[in-house]
Amino acid sequence: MYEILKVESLKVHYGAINAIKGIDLSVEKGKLVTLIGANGAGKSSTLNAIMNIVTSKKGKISYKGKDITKTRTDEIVKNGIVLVPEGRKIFPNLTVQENLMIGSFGRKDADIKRDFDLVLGLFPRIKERLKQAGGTLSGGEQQMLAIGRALMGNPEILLMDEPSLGLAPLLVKMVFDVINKIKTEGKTILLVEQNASMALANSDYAYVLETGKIVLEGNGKDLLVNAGIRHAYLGIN
Amino acid sequence: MNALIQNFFNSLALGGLYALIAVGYTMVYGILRLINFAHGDIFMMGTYFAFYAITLLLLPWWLGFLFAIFITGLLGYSIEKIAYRPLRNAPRISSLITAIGMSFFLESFAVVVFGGIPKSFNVYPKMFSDVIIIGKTRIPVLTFITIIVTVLLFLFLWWLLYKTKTGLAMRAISVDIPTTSLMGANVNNVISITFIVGSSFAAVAGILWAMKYPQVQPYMGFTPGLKAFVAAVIGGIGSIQGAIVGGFLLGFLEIMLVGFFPNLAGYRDVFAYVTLVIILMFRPTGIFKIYSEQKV
Repeated sequence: MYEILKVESLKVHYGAINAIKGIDLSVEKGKLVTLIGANGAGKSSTLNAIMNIVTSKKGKISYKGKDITKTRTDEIVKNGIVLVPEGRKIFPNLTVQENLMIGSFGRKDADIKRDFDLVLGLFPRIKERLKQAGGTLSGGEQQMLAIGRALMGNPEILLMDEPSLGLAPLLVKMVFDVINKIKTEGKTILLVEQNASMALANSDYAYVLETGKIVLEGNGKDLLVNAGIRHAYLGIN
Repeated sequence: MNALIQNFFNSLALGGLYALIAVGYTMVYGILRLINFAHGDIFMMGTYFAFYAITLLLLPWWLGFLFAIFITGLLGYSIEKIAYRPLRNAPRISSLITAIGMSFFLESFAVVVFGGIPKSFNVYPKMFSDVIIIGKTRIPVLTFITIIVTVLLFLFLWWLLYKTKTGLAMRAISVDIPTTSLMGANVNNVISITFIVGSSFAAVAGILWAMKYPQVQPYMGFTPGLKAFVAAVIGGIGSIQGAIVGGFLLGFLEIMLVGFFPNLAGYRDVFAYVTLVIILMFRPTGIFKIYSEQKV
């Protein structure tokens, strides 16, 4: 299989604190890969390092065989990697429609309108609220908007940072339905989650991160039945 | 009645100038949370550029003005790139002190290179100083020009902010710089454009100002700069509507005060600052509050 994204011996530090202590991971094209782990394990740092928002790092990140370790964030986005950031980070002062349109900022192709309709088809709730300010949406709607906004960038690989955080169980299920739908449309997804059971059940491959190191990896469903995982992340003995 | 109409137009013109400068303060603050203390001096540099473009480069007045506006935009771009960009992630106080330093630098530069003696700004066509007489009301042509130019520039600004992709990114950057870069926008370019627009507006205001009080000198940016800053704070710094409203409010208060109480004319500057104190007492965020809370 074709490895679209590859991270080699990545280290990230914030001042004297080592958030990531050398991890390797790779994402195959068309797959849903998950990174699970507790708070502070380094999951978000990994995604932010890939996007080059975090610059204090060592190691190598390559995308389609090209080194993007030091590529500027907006260039990475234009090359086809888009992040749905933790906490949604929608623009509260822009309208919902503007929030979606800014997702296509780096694009010059003619298919923006097509993707706009596609996103509205995926999120009918968003369609009803196009003229509203983004800040007036509920938490669940904001998450939908954040995913829709990322899709407006027409990514080849979508990075998602805890999309289920703070959502009611019904909405969590909806988010995962959307993730699966995006995957069936041929996009590659690297997902970071604390909701381990949902994430593992849906993913092709998974890495378990603990205090900046990968302690376990394997097929999602294999990890789901792994005794250690069940104990540490699912609370089942 | 005639006096009132005359004062009305004068207020619009002066308020427009304050608003033009105030927009530069507020746009930079809105994006970088930086008070660009050098902004008044950029205004001053704009007038010198116009002066020398016409007297030294012998450009026709209109081309000289356009040239000066362009060069001042370039100056704003360079100041951001050289002085502020390296400090973008530094504590805010560092950039604030740098801005004050940049202000001193520009003033001293002007004293050394252009000379400290005020120069007569007689570089514009004489028809600008003509007076239009309607009935018994006398209004200078320059007042009309100032009002028209101001309105056109604000229309341009509205178009830039609400009808272009760059404007969309400017509004996005004002709430969240890293997330805007995640949208595929080069934030450095967007910030540069903000400085270019703000500085060009200051140059336009400077040229109009120098025609109104026809002389240029190195410290001429101090008072208008400070008053425009007051206007921006009154309106709610960070808000563009606020800067425009604040500018006009200050213009009206100042002209009307002098118009109705001529013996208080000496206190016109004091009045602007008293207004600031009163407004801040009742509305610490200014008239228009910028969006600061973010729902998580």
